[in-house]
Amino acid sequence: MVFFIFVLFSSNVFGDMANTSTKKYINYLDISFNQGFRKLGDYYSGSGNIDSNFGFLYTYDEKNSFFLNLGIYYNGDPVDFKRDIDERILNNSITTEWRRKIDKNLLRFCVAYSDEKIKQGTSNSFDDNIYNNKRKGIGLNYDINYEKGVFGAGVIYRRIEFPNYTDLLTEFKNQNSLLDDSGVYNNDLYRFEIRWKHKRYFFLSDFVYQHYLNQRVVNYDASYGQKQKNISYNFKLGLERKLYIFDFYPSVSLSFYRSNQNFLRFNSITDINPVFLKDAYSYDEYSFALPFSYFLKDITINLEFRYTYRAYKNRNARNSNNEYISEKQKNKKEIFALTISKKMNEISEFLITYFHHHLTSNNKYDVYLPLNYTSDYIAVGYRINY
Amino acid sequence: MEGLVLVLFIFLFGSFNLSADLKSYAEQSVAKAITDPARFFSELKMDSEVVFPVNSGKRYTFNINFLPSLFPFTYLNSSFNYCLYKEGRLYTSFPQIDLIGGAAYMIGGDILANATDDVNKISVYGYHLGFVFSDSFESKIRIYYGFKHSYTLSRLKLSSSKKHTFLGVNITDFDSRFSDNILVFGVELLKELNKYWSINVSYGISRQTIVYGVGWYGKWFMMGFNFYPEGIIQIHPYWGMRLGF
Repeated sequence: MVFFIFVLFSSNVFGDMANTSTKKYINYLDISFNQGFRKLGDYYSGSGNIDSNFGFLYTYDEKNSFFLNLGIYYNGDPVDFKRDIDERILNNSITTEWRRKIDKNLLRFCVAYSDEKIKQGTSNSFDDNIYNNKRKGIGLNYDINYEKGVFGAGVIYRRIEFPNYTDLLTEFKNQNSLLDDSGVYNNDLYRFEIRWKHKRYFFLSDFVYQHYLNQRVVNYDASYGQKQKNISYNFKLGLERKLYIFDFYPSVSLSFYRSNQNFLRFNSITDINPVFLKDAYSYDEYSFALPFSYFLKDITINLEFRYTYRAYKNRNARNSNNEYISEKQKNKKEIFALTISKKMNEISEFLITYFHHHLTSNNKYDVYLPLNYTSDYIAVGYRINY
Repeated sequence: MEGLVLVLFIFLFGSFNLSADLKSYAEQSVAKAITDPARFFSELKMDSEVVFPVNSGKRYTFNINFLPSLFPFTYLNSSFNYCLYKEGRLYTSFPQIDLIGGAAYMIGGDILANATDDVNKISVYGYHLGFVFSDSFESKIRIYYGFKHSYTLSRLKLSSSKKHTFLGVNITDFDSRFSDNILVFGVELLKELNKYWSINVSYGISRQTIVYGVGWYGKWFMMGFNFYPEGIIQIHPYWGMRLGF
């Protein structure tokens, strides 16, 4: 039904029926995909990615327009994985936005829905992963245009639901009883953002507040306490300038993440003296990026170096035997990216992409999520934008 | 030409899990195919499901996929794209509407069943039905988007007199169906007279089928690559006939 409505509106029939020059629809299509292989340590795997957007912009009059977008995104064996080296992430989204011009400024109101499915490896199903989630919500943005730049502010709200999530600790404690875990990880997310571009400088800042509806923090005695709350403050400052023959866009970012969630480390299923870590997830993160672009006729070369340093506030690192050491956990990530794109025709580019990742951490117990590894990824693909 | 060789080289390497040796890769693939045989056979069939819009000035196209559907996968196949409404006939901006459909039957199953005593019967066949809208932008570019329902049935009945294994994986009887409701969208570029280039993406709403492809087609033939990032064989180069009338 949604697709039918989408197709109906994305066709241009109403443009004629309205029969005025001020009402018009513009369809657009944006697809990029690549296929390559990833080397992670001694482990090689095939890897593919799709980013695709299809939609239309309907201009009602000089001040009002309406925008509808259908997005399909797939990331298989990603270079920068979130939870598992073999994870595959599939995300579909529908976004609608009403835009109203107010003098030189722009007011935007959006309604968004997305469905993210995850699986580990090629054999499992996308349907039953505990981190599968659906997001729905609204957003409001206002952009003020002035002579030398633009200043914008916005707020979004999302209800994030995890229909398959199960609480392992509760299940472990209640092995012989049936549990209803539905909704335990559901949360409300609020994001407040400001964006400022002045001449060649740009600045972004946001504040994110995540309130869990049912999830509670774990206590030292494996009981549950107050409801979980996460907060993060993020800042990014950068500039755009010409440097010799390159376009150069350096930026620095700061991120401060705070969660009241604790951690109880069981060494084994029979461990009767688990280690309790209060405030185990809070961290400070600093990063900088040095991207360069070079244009040569129909070939574009993009080079980028990124460095990220994350320091946990209260989480001690573990050695390879899963024992805590006296130092706080610190992770470092270095990324080198090279993309060469060649314009093939009026609407498409052929891409060759190379990524090199190098991660190090003083936490050597990375059974669940590798923290010390080197990864290389090479792929070829196409990008169209019309 | 060098670019094409490079593309082939990287894509073919990218389609394998190089961590495993060839035998274990083959075992994993067979196990995966046995777990959901209809999905596996559906992937092999899907290259014959042509979604390119009917050319301007033509009423319908008739398509047969020679590689890889007919050979080596032994699917007798054909598909038909019929233009129900030409763009701009009633309203200048109403898109072209094509009905698409086709069927495929794996004749290799019958050959195998006749050639060996281990297999009593293999049946693999399927069809697809759908529609495609296409909008022109400028004189040479069309965006197309649509929907298709794809169905595949696969049945295997083995001789019960002995245990059957293939590459170390136990093979048992199966009778399974795979159907998916698939969204399609892509873009077509007219490069020169009767020479088209296209990119498209397909996504299955029901079973998460993911395919993306790049293709070239002309007056008689079509060729290109389809990519199945979740598939057992991730890269499918294809070549076939596409006649417009």
